[in-house]
Amino acid sequence: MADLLVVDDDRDLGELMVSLLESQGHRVRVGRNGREGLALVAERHPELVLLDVDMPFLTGPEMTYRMFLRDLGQETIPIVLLSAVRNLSEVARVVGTPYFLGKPYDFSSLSRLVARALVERQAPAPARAERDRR
Amino acid sequence: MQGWLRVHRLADILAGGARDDNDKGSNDQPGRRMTPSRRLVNLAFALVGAGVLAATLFATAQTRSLQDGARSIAENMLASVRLVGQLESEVQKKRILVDDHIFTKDARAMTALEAQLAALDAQISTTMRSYHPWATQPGERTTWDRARSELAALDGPIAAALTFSRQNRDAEARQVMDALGLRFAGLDQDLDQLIAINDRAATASLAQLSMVRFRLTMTLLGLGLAALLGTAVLRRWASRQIARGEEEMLRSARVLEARNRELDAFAGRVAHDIRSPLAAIKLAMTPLQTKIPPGDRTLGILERGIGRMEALVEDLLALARIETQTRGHCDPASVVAELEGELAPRMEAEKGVLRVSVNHAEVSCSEGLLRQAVTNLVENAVKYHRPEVAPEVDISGATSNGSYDLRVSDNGLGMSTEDAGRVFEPFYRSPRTQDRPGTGLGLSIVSRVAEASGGRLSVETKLGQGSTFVVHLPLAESPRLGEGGTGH
Repeated sequence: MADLLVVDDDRDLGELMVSLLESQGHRVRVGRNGREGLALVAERHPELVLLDVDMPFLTGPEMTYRMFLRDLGQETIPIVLLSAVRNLSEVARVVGTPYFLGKPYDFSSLSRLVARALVERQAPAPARAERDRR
Repeated sequence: MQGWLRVHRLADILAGGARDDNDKGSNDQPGRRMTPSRRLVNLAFALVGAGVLAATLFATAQTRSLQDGARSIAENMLASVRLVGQLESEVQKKRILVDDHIFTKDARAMTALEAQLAALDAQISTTMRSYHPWATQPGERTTWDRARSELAALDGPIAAALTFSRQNRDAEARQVMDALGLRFAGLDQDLDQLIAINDRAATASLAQLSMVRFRLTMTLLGLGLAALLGTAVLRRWASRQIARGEEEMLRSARVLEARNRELDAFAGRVAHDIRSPLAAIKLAMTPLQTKIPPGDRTLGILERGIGRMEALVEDLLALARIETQTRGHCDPASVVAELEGELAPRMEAEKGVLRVSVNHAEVSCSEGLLRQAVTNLVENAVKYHRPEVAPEVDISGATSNGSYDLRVSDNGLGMSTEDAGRVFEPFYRSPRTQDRPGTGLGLSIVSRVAEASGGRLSVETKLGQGSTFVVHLPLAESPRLGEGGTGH
């Protein structure tokens, strides 16, 4: 079972996810925004970050970028984007993660995606278009 | 650098998250009504036209006046010169006849000469009467009066000379005539002067005509320059008016675009904020499943409620996004071909059949909107199928009378006339189908898609037999595909 970090500004959703993922045997911590998420990542590298997109203080993609910028191994942590934004696939493409799920989702879908991400462990990689734009 | 680009790009995506690729550009169409600017431009050109017409009329009048003047001068001069010349030769002839009379001794010849002289006198009188009204130039009348008096005064001595001649007193007759020589010379001089006066008058009139023509040319030149200047001023003024109008239109378009974006962003925000608690509720279902005893309907009610809320959010979002996606065109055959795969599981779940026969064409409708419309129509056909009858859905498309008709037919419940009249209203649900899941927005979305693309949606239906929905779409301006087709 894995060490997971959930970052979501919806308190109820965060608590539910912790509860449900823990019931599957995972070790789960929760942050309320990107800033808290970064602090928790710095405290201990999780095996997977489940990240909301639109959050106060620091959005999910901004947090991912800072993890990338620190260049301390955090950039290798796979990210699962969980959000209600309408163009989530586009956001995921820019962040460079293949793992994303639109809200509202049921637990079985989430559970499958988490399992897949933990097996593949694909770290975020900037989209080719973004690289070429330099 | 790469990271900053990513952040900026992300900020763009998050801020304008509601926008799609098809959203670019605004749907500003110039109004067909006559704007004040257009009225003013029309008025300005009407004024220029009126000016040109006035100048033409003026020039025509002046030309006619010039022609009249020239004709008058020519007639006056020619008549005067001809009559005076004729008079001169008649006087000359009279002198010759008198000389012949003096010379001849034969009484019969004399009588004949006298008859000729009488006829000549009559002719001279006629010539004098004809010339009299033409003697109008300054100095001409005085000279003419003098010549006339002289002619009359010569009659007496000539008659005396003729009397001497008839008595064959030729020496005395010749003496009388010789004495008249100077007076005849004076008369000739007066007649020559009359010709000279007319000649001078003609020259003066011609000079005057040249002056008038010069003035006319200058006037026309002035009018032309004034018209040119007026046109330039009007053009500048009209350009400003048009530019102002265009600026106003652009400003309105920008405001409209901004409002659309705001509306879109607002819809996105609302959807996001509803979806998050929905996600929490949906997740909370998992622990509930273990706590609620089997057979309890509570979970089912909750699941259906969540499903309806999800559908409602999706439909509201789709409805809000239509106006921002009106640009673009697509090939219905390609769109339907792509959708076929996506719709197949839904059809299989209902043991239904989907048949497709859609001709290629380029229609004025964004691909996203057409996908939405076709999906909704097929979903609708499947949702409202008759109990115990597997749904059969036919999608066909072809050009018809300069537009494109995409038809989705089913063998479902069909509708009453009343339902058919209201079925495109948002949130309208027929009382007969209230038990079936749905938001009441599906068909109004299709209708809005058709209208936003410049077309319309129509329905042909028979209660208990099925319905055919037709999306009438305008053809794109330059079709790049022939009338091939996909179908099986």
